[in-house]
Amino acid sequence: MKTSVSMTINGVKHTHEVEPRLLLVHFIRELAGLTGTHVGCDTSQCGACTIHLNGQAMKSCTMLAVQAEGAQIKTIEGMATDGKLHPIQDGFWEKHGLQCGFCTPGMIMSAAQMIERYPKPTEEQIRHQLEGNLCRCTGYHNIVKAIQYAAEKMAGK
Amino acid sequence: MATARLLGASVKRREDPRFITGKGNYTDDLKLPGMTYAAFVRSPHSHARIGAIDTAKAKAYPGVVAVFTGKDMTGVNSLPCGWDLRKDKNIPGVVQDLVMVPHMPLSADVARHVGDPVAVVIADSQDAALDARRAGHRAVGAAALGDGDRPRRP
Repeated sequence: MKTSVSMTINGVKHTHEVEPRLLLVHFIRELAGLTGTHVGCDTSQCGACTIHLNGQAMKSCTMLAVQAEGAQIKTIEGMATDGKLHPIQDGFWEKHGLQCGFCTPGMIMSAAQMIERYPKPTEEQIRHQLEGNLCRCTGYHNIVKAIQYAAEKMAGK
Repeated sequence: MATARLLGASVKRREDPRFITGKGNYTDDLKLPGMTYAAFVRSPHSHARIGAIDTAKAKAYPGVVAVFTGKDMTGVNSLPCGWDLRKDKNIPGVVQDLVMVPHMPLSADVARHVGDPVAVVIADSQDAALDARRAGHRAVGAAALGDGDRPRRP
């Protein structure tokens, strides 16, 4: 039995008939066609599927699509505005915060909320806050630098 | 000179813009016409004899295209699996006694590690493949091997 669900993703309204068991991440990837949000582990550990739901960073594989009815969602595709990279995206590029790039969208979405909470995060805070995001290239050191770089840039704005 | 800009400098990667904007196009992001999805039934045991597998229920699931088990691997080539049995490992560049052990894509007789694939369901959607695999898990008869019941070494 399918049910209708609507949500706004990066400013665009998406309405689809879904099975109640459909996960939010699959709604975003398969139905909205936004494949920047990744499924890394299927077990809510890796954080590659991190998105913003009503301004809150969360793992979109831990939630059913029907629970996001009416929600405002932002994904990695919505971070750059008018072709201009978000300072966090810029930081990852500048500080070599990625190798294969698979975990990067989740890292960036987590980092965005982290900087909102801690505008001047210490290295310890960054490492603690990234506990829910795994990088199998294990490039954590440059990810920390990328987030510090972005936080400084955003504070100076 | 181009090298002056590269040597000793931190060079930004050209591939990064697509990764940091969500346009990486990884394997899981690809959608091809007529694409099917595979779901493997894997051994929950570290060492077990595989009994009878009833594929009828899995095959009957809507959307299922095919179900294969180890018994269907007749005529299929073994996966390359070299085992270096050199007596003297200190000869650089020389590989002696390299044994190519049989390693079939799906095991027919014995599962040799947790996660060893014993069957695969092919379906026209990932959901259908996963649903049918659930039936497959129940349909695999397995007897865990004890110490006195080890198969001979290859």
